[in-house]
Amino acid sequence: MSVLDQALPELSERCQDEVIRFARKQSKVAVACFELFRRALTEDIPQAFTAIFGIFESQVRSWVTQHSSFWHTNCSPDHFVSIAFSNFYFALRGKQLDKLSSAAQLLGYLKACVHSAILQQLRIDSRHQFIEIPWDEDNAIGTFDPFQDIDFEDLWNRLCVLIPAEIDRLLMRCAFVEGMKPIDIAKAYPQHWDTPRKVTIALYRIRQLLRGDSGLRGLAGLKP
Amino acid sequence: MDCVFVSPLTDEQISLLIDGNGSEDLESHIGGCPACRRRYQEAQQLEIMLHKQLHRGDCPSSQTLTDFHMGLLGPPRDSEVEAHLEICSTCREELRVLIAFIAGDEGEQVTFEEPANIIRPSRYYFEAQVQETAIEAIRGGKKYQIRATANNITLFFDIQQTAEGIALEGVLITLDEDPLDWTGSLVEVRSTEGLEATSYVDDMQTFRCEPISQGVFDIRITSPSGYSITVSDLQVIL
Repeated sequence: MSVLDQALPELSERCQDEVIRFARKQSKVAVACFELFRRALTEDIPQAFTAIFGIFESQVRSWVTQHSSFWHTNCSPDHFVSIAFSNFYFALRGKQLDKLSSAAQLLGYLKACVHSAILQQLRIDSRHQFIEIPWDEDNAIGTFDPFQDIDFEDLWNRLCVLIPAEIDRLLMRCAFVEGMKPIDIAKAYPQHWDTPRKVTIALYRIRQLLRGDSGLRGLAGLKP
Repeated sequence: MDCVFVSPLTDEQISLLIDGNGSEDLESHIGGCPACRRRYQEAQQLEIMLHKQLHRGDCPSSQTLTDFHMGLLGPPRDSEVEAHLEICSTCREELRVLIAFIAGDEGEQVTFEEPANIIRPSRYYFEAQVQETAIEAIRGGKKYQIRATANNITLFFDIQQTAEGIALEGVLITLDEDPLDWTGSLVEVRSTEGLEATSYVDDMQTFRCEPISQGVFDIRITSPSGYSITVSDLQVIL
């Protein structure tokens, strides 16, 4: 019987068999798994997606724990399993699977979704680390709301007015947008700054200029 | 206020301290001199604001980078990401790690043993407690309503008998001034046997999982932005 005519429970079983044969290197054919993906994503059948989740969950969890950045997060593997499946589903739902035309390619994309789930979490964590720096209340200067949200472009344009030189803007981007340390900046751009010390010197000039701007001081809760 | 030592810290020395490269001498200067500590604090406060507001602010999301690599982004997004990669070494590094990860060549791989103390930061994780179960008589049968709450989030569940089994419907209500958007969150219904059903939260913040059998389930709802709610031991019994 063609996979197209198979009922969902039989199709799921057949896909599971394909996974086992693939793991034993007995076969690379995965037509049933692809059909299961197609029904879940193109036909949007929730039970098909539940079946996929059940079949590949342990594989996805092992990808999570094998990712070199997983240990830098403070989250359980299941958290990333859920986000990876969620992102996978929303990226491909309702679309023709013309760009990912085999089960192997779909699984490759699911694995890539594991990576992006972990890396996105690291971005959130590193943004929050600046908020959570313990603040010395007794010596606090002005009122500073670390949760205020300022439009990135507005703030960046303001900085660019204060720091007109392209090379300084590159350094400012490395330090404040990418959060790079002087040692990493020197490694990435030795043509501009060949030692971390040169980076620090260039940075302190920039910081001096920024600290002199009353608008920025206000945003940081400093007196003008 | 003047420096209590022979000479106050220079701006360069304060910059070194901000970068975490200050020597012990500089650290002790800060510790012993209120005037220089105040200058350092000012500098650090501005630094925190800039990092918080700018960190990866113009970078495409990790998922967008992934989609770019997999050829799933159409124009003009693909060329926008390509242009961004020209200027952003951190995104280039993310992409390099992705390529190595897909190829299974990430370098040393760690065999997983889950430590007992993995703690999800509380700002991302909510554990909802079942508060109330009500039974409402409807034509042809009964309808069970369950309410569970966590912080300012309330979940209402309806259990319904359908031709194919049982359907679990839910709605998420958040009372925050700036509520989290749970649209697109993955809903997992799990029993001790494993995964029973999945579903997604729609733009009305509702979801429907079916068919499920009678039993006791844990419900896990995970948003694409990394927040999750768990409801444990939800009794689905008609």
